[in-house]
Amino acid sequence: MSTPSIRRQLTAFLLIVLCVGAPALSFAAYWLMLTEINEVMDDSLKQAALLLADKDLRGAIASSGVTPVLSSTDAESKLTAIARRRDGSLLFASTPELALDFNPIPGMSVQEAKGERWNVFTVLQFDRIVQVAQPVSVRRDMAAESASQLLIPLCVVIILMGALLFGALRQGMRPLEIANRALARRGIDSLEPLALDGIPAELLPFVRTLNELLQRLERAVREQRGFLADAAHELRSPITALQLQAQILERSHDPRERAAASDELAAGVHRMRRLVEQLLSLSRSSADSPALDSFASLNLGELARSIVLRWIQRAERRCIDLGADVRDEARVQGDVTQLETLLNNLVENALRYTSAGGTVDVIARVDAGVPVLAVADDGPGIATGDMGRIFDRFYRGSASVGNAEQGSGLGLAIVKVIAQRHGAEVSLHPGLGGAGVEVRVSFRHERAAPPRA
Amino acid sequence: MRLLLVEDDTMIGRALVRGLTQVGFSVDWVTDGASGLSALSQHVHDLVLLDIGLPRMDGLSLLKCVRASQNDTLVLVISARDGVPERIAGLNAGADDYLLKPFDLDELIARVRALLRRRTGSATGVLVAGSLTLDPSRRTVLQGAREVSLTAKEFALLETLMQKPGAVVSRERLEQSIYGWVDEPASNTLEVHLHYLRRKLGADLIRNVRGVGYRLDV
Repeated sequence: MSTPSIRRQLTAFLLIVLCVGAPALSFAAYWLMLTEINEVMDDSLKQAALLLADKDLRGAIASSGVTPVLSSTDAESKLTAIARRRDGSLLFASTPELALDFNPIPGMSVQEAKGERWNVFTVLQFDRIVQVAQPVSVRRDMAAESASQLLIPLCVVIILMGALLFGALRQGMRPLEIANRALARRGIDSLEPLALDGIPAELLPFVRTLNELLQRLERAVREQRGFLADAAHELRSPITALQLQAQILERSHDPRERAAASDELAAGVHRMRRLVEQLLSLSRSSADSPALDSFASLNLGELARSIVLRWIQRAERRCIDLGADVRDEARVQGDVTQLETLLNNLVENALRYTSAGGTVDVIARVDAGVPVLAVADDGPGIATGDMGRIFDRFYRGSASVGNAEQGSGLGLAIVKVIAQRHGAEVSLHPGLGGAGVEVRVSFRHERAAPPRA
Repeated sequence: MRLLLVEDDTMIGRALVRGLTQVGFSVDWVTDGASGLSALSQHVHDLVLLDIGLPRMDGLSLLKCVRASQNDTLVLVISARDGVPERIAGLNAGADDYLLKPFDLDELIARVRALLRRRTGSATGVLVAGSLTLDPSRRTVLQGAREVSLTAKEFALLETLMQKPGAVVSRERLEQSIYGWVDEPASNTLEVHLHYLRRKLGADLIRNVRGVGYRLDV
């Protein structure tokens, strides 16, 4: 199957119209010619007959075919003249071998003779009958010849029109080709919009839409590059730590020193692994297409309880009171794995910043019809200077300094991306008893469809 | 030699303190820019290892503040920012050297020594005073042709004294060269180290100028 081409289609359409139109035009020309020729020829038949009627025709036969009234050009028009006496005897014949015998019908008539049809003009004089005749076919041939002469210019016009149309269409399509070539040269680095000047009005909407797509692509590429640059930068710190820890282990000889150095190295490896996992999780959840098919109706209360069970041992080791606070059985449409990742990140953060004896709550409730998931603690809270940047990738709040277990700075960025994919909003509020912080994820109303990202 | 480390990454910080202490430096470690600035205002450090991405005050601002206050302490920037513009900005702000993360511990130590050597005006780094020869990079001391074995603190004391042979070095300066903040020196430990040093090198080599300090007699 060939791809449809506007140029080919238009050209073919026009050629069909011309090919049907040209014979129709020729036929019309033929008819007009024939009518005209009939008029002229009838007239000349009549003139010849009247002339012949007044002539003295005695002895004319002897002159054997030399007709006094018919010129040599009449031979081409196959005119033939006959004169007879009233009694039917032949008085004169322009071509004696064609001594035709027509009925004496006065004026114009069409009669059969010798297997042919003839146009006959008859004049009845007192002593004779004069008839001038011409085969009907002669007139038709003449009309056909004239009409066929028209065919050549017509064909030329058809060919010229076709060529012109092809050229005009090619010219008209040129901006498209230029735009196409410009696009073909583009790489992932050049996503600037196409120039709109010279683009025909018919193509403008298409090019505009294309430009919008390019813009979105450019934003996505820039975002990805930024992410990659950030990630590469952030990987440097744990790698530096690992390299130093390995070198220290190498040059520690005392068993106690070695044990301490090897613990440090293990912690460094753990931190590296955690960062890589977080990076993967972020890249997975920021993949462009929303995996709506993995969305199912799920119970936020159950989710909150399962997360508490997962973290309870670690919380107890650090003497933090971790619990679920399920006030309503809220349901949302969502991806269970992603929402678990979201809660894991929130709980991990809360545990990191809450000191021994503190409290962390995983909350599921419905606020004025809106399903809400939240993690609240009574830790140090978030410094006002950090508020604006806390959801940025790799941003670590000032409270993280000197903290025994440093985070990757990706947790809240992951939370934000996952929330966005669920059409939910993330907001910060004062935490338990007015201290600490509550990170709140507010979903859309249960019945509202999740958004297309 | 007493170093100040300004680094917010706890793992890197712990490893650097351990690695630098192992080769005889005494290291003070702070985790944010503001603390770094106040530590530097005491003028007790020979060299600062400075990270750029720091909370409360970034490394570049700290560096500009330090240089603006006519403090010419040696500064070695250690940073994960690898762009040429960032490195140029660091050097323009007054850094003496720029080392990119991740780095090798030995390279860091070599660069620290190189900077300190340039400051004392000796290109090879080997200090010579009378019959004594001290090589900081190989950590060896020769008296004549005999190699003398010294502890890290004894070595640091001798190094400080040998930088200005014959000149009187104050008691505080000597203490600073061997103690970090965490060490909490007892009032007479400097004398203990000096006592052992005298025993190893000869009693009349290090003279006490009462109420002022000590001097290397060559």
